[in-house]
Amino acid sequence: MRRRSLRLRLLVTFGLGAFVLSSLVATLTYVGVERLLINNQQQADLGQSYVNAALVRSTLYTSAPELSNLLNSIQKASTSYVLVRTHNEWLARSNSASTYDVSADTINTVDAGRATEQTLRVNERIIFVVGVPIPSVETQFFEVFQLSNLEHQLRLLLMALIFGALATSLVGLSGGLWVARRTVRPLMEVSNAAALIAEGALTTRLLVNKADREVQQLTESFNQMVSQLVQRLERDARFASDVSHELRSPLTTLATTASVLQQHRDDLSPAARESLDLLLADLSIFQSLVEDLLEMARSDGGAVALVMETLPVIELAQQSVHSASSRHGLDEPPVEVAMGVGDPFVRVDRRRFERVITNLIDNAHRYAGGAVALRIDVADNVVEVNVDDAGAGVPPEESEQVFERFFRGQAAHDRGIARGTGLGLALVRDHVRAFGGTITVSRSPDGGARFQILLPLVQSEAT
Amino acid sequence: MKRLRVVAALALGAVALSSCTLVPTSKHPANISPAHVPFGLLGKSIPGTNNGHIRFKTQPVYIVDASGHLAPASRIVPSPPVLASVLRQLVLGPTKIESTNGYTSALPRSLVILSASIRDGIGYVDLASPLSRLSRSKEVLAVGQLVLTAHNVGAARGIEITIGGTAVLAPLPNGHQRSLVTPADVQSLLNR
Amino acid sequence: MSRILIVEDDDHIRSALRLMFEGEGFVVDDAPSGEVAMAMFNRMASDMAIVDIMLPGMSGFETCLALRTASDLPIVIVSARDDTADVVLGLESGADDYVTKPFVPEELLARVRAHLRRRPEKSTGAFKLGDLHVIPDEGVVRHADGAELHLTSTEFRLLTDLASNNAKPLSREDLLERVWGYDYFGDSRLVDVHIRRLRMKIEPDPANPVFLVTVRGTGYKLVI
Repeated sequence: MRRRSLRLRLLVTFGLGAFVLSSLVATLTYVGVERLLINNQQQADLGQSYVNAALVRSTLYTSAPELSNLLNSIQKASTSYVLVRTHNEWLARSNSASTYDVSADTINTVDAGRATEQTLRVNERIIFVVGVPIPSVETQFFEVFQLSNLEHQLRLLLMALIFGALATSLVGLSGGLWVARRTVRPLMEVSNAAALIAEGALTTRLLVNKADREVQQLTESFNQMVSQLVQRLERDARFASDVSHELRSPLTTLATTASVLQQHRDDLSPAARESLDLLLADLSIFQSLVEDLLEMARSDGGAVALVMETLPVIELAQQSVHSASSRHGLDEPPVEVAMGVGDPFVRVDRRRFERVITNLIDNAHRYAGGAVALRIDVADNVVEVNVDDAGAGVPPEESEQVFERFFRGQAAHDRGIARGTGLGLALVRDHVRAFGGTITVSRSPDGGARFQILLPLVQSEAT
Repeated sequence: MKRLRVVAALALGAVALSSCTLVPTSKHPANISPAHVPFGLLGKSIPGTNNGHIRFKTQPVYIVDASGHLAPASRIVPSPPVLASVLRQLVLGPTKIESTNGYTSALPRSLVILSASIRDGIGYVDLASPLSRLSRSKEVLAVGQLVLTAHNVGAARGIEITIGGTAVLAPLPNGHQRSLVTPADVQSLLNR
Repeated sequence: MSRILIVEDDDHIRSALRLMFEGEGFVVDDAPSGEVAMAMFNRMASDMAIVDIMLPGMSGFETCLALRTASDLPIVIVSARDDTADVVLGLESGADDYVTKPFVPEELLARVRAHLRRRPEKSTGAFKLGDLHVIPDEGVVRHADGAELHLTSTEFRLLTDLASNNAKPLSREDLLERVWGYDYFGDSRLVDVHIRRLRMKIEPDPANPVFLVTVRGTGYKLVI
């Protein structure tokens, strides 16, 4: 089912409606007026004919020779002309009269004693022929009227009405356009605002429109809905944050006491020692998880503002790699920089960037036997930071999901051990996005996975 | 491009409109019901008169043909023909068609016939102005026209012309003059 | 044998810390509040203090300030929050370092040890900063009139490290490595706050420094 545009429908309704209505009115008007005009004309003409016939009759009765003069004076007075047929012969006619205008049909009928009238077209002229028998003077009277004037009038009327109908339709159409725009604009605004909010601009609200009540209602309801949703989101974020926060103190105790046990390791029995090892391992996971959760909650709720600095990315990457390896006891992958790249700068939060690199290297360590290299390149005002490993790679169908929270891909299942918190890559993506960049995973030249971070290139500040 | 097409279509429409017939025509004349015809036009007699009606007959009047001879031409006159009205028709002269064929009349169109009547087969014609004003030949033809036309109305023995009541002598083709002119006198004027 | 003062109101954490440090050969004095800590400190001279920010009554910051006023000893603050405001406040109050809960106990140990190493590894000759006389060998700074200017060990180390670099700038990372110990993921805020504290002590006009100069994009340098 194809969805039709509301705007189009309004337009068509208005335009078509106006057209149909105005056409109807025009047609009715025209038909009515035409009828009226023609009838009036005919009546007038007939009346004139009767009068003229009576004149002819009395002239013939009293002074037949005067007939020609009478007919000419009649023609002078009106645009019609008269033909008189007496004793079966054309007795007299007006100067410009033509007997061809009077058809045999008319003559015969009038001859038979009946008055007739006919509108006909002769040689491009439209005429109205009236025939009146005057038996008292053995005469058939014919008068021919020119209707070209009438036709001209009707034509003008028709044109005016058609023009009027078209103009009305156009007005209707533009009315429809205006209504469509007025109706559709608030809808589009809502739709755009909704899209913005879905993308994460949670402070988006609709401007309260003072124009139409219904639109204002919609606006207010929408804004209210968004505010409530945002509140709920914040509450949820805060909850995760609050929970993790509460866990800090007990965790500190756990970590510290475990450390003490570790100090007295030699005093423990083998079973106790093994238990302690397990405890320590899981404790560290627990700790990482709580830290990750807290960091996640913070970035979700937008609680902690980023401290953005313009930093040289190569140096930053080198330091991050160094910290990651020294802190977590991981191998330190080399930082390779493509030729001719110079010293590009990016605008990031330093600590979060280091976190990103650390997480990626850690991830490589867990699932791919360690990161092979960190490769930096610049293209089209974009800085590429690639963390490559030589592991099994990420299957294409998981390349999006792998950044989801707590996602365990095939690699994790296969490995069984070296479990992470499940939030590492999700945090990486969140932070990278906060920097205005993107992260994707694909194949590295070494055969494993390549996590590619793209960040906008920034012109360095003056040193 | 689209706009151009719209304008062209409109123009075409306007042209079409201007040529179409708007007043309905009919093939045959329509009868008007007698009730709608006023003035008693359809009646056998003229209203307001005492059974007034006339009939017409075709009556010859004599005019001058292209050769200069007298020749008859038909006129439709009320029947029974009255000398005065017939002579008045004669005075009107040839019709347009007759004129184009060369017919003329020796009688001046301004000629006023004061009175004309027939008694005992003689037509007594009283003119307002004398015919002697015309040339001799024309006067002869004029008289001939009057005689022959009156003859067909019933003046078998000829006519007598008076000018304002005063009797005058009419010229004859043979050169004589007489007061009573007979049809036989003017036979020579006819085109044989 | 180093003596550590632990100020922590959570009993379990305090006990655990005591066990850990005693296990590593430290002498531990622990106090559940700032007031008790100050009383203890006045009786015995601790070599190092670990102070929790969240204390009942006298706050961690106040305790820090009190300790700093009384001595140059290294102070590490422990905070549940990582907010810049808290950290900066703590450092401004006189702390030399901070860790957030939950911390890796081994890391805390490492940092404590690093701070207890008083003498700088590189020996630098004495130098002057305006009318201040800096003698690294003795670990003191004297005014022209002979009065001593008190610097914490961290501040002192920072000063001498910059001095030993011959007016060449050192990055924050370099400074973190050298002053605070090299094998942990440090925080440039530490450096920034300490620089500020140093400037307040040695610069005639801390707002417009002439000795401790910022080199934008690189770090800091000391102009002698």
